[in-house]
Amino acid sequence: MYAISTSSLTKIYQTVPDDAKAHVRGVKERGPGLWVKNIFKLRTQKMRKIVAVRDLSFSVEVGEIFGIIGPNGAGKTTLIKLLSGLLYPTSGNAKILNYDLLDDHEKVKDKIAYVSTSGWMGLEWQLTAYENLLFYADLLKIPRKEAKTALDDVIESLGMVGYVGKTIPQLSAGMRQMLTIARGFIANRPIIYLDEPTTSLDPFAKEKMWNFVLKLKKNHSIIFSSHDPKELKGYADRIMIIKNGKSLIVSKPQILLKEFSTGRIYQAELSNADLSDFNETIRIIDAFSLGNKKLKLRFTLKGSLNDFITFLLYKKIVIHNITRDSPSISDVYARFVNE
Amino acid sequence: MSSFANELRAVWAFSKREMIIWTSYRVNIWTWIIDVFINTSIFFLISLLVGHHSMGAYGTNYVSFVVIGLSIYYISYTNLGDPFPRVARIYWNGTMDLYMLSPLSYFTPVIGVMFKSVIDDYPRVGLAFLFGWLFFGASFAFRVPFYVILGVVLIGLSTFGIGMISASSFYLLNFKRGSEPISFILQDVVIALVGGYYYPVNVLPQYLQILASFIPHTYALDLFRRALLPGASLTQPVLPLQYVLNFSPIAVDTIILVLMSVVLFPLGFYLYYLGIQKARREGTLTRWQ
Repeated sequence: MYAISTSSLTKIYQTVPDDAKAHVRGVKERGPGLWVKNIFKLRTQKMRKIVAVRDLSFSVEVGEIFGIIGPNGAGKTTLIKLLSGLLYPTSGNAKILNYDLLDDHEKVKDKIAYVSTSGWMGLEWQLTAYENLLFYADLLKIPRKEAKTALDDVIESLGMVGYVGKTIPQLSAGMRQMLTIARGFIANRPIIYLDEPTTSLDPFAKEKMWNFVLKLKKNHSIIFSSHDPKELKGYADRIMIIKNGKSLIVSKPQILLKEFSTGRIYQAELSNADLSDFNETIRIIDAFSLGNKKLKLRFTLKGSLNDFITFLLYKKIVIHNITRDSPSISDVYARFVNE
Repeated sequence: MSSFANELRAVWAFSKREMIIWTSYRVNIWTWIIDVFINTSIFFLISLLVGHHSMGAYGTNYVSFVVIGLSIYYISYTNLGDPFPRVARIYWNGTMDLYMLSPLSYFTPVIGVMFKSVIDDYPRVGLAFLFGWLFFGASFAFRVPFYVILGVVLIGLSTFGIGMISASSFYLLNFKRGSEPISFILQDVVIALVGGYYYPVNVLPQYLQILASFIPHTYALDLFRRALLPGASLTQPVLPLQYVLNFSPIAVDTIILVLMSVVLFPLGFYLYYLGIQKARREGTLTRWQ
């Protein structure tokens, strides 16, 4: 285990040349919003020690959106809670806008917004959506006049005007989730953590949320976890893939796609086919049954395309179409996680 | 705005929320008025049964005697019994994370959420006095008002201290389901038996009187009864410590209440703080981990 002091964190960060940081991250350098070094968390589950987060180090710039993806139980939520100060790390530390996460937690609290959409989302069921937001504005010590302006802006931007007068049980799961997101934005904190923010949102609501986040991006550091590779590719400046609490890679989506996608990807619609026929010839990424022994496959080849077509003809499989498909973040993610 | 003013503003925000919730159940106000009325009338009926027996240093009016007992019961029920379920409510609603990330002290949310009980229980004290006086022949004197006011503050602080010790067990001892033993043993066993809500402590066997010496209720009830009951004695000792120390019983009550408040109030807050720190280490602040 590794513990690191605040001063050494600063020293390490200062050794990286500014232009290199800007070049590598592809964002205009404004300094680190967040700087994490060797953060490590052991948790006890049924008397057994498990590693929830294993020795993670990374930084997030001001003006950057940083995406985290990983299988269920990979440690995404634990990591976000560690960076919020809700959990103490077993070792390691982080600096949030130059404040030490452990020693200056009271100051860190004023810098972060934390949006968790798990469980009951901490909403007050007997209050209306608007009263919920106003209540949290009071707890966050936002002066009432400022709070009302901020609330109006967030409500308008997130498309919540139609339902802010409803109580929580009258809202759909997606509306409740949007309310939780709105609650996170009212204080306009420079560091924003979004833990799987769009799980129950419809595509329009997702777009509204992301448009709002993009408006904030310039002066904020935004860290979000998601299971949606399209969302990560669309909005994250960099992506971290984690598994079993360990970072497998941190990079820009374009670099991940260029360097780590698995060969050429094809898509085919076939009839009179059985999945077990293909073990020798292709690596299947996705497969959908369209009924009547008709399949839609996404795959990479083990041999050449000619060999594969010959194989299909030999097996008397009907080919409706075979096309090239672009690699996606999902492919990169699958490769890292499965390896 | 100063930090303290901000905390007060947050308590006010919680209070408004609790008020909205409380008034949304319209039947609440009627049930608690009926509840206090029935409680007071039960003891009136008991007083009819036992007649106007002398209660030694506390005079002869049993309804007045019990109205004071009921009042301390209501205050204790809130201050001692409420912090634990309020912490549990914050935990089970999944709001502890959010409160811990707001710029509030660890304690403000618990105090704020308790407001529902305060508006529910504290007015019962006034109602018990009112019903006792209007309908059941209770009468009161106000002989040493300074001691009464001080006594209210001290019983409030000391019982809230025990309440916070009980609340701390939620995280510190991991009592997350159902009731917890600290408030059960104190409130429902020891205080119910030897606190002296409904009978003077000196009718108990001596070993129970000694046990009663360790709870603040004993001294608060003795103080209020001497100060508020017509015909009560300000000098005749009743409690074991009053015999031992052999000076003004009201002064003994006040000194012991001060000592208990000074110990229990900070201890309760400190243990609750330790509980939160433990939960932050273990990742158990909220039910959704």
